[in-house]
Amino acid sequence: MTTDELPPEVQQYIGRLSSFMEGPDEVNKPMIRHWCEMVEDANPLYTDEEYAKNSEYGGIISPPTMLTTWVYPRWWPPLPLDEMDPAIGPAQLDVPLGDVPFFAASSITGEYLLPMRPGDKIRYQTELHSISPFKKIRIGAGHFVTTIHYYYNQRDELVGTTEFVLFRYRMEE
Amino acid sequence: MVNQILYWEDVGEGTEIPPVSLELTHNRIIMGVCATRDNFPLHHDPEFAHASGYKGPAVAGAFLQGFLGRCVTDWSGPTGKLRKLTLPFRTPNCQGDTITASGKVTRKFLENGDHRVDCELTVTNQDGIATVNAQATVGLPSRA
Repeated sequence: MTTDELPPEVQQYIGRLSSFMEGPDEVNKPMIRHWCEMVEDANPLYTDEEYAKNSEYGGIISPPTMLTTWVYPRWWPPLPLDEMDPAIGPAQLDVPLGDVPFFAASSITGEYLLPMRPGDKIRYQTELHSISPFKKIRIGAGHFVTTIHYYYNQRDELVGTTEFVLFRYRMEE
Repeated sequence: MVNQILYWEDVGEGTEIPPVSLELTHNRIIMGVCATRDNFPLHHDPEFAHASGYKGPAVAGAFLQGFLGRCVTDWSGPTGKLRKLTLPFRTPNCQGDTITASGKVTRKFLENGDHRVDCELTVTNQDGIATVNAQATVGLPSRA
């Protein structure tokens, strides 16, 4: 089975774009420092004001890998039901793929295009990028569903993307 | 080397990226949830983790991205720029594990005037099991 043979009710999901979701907090130094504590990252661009001021950036920047964290939904108060998780969104789970009750994260790819600085407001939009033909792998049989998040700053500049591949499957004998 | 500058001209295919290690203590698991904001129970709740077939809470993808990002810029210095990181999920990294990231340069190239290298990055645990095999593209300054 090729992608062309996916049923029309599945194909119509491919290429769909979500509305924009904005992170609860602007890029900020305390959260950057917490991130550096977590993995013991001593990169002076993230926490050393003096060093960062004299660098090509002219000030502190965020670790590029914090991209998804800047848009992670708030923990409280509860979000309206239609707001989605930045990683596993309804975009991937809603596609009617038949009897595939399980899902497993397969891979995540980040592309980091522009620096993010304290004060930047990051928002993102999700595209349901592709759905693989039915495949059998070690853990079961199903479809790989790929979404791409596009992250923009307050100047509408694309600062990065993340591609998230989810395997939706059923167990096989 | 943290504050030193690594130039593109000074690396080649096979250049090694030195190991960095972290102990996934209970404390670090909590720091991970707070700093990444990923509060899915698998990342902090032992009962949920056990019920899901894990030996304990497993760190999130964002934690590993941060760890590998650190591994890269500890090697390149702050003038190195992580351009791309692909992280396939394989074996979970759980509370109680000690994880070590290291790597090597696999390709050296120019793209749109940017001096870049591709790297293979591996995370191994205390049992010598490779839990993550990631690929990174890194921009480096040039002497040219």
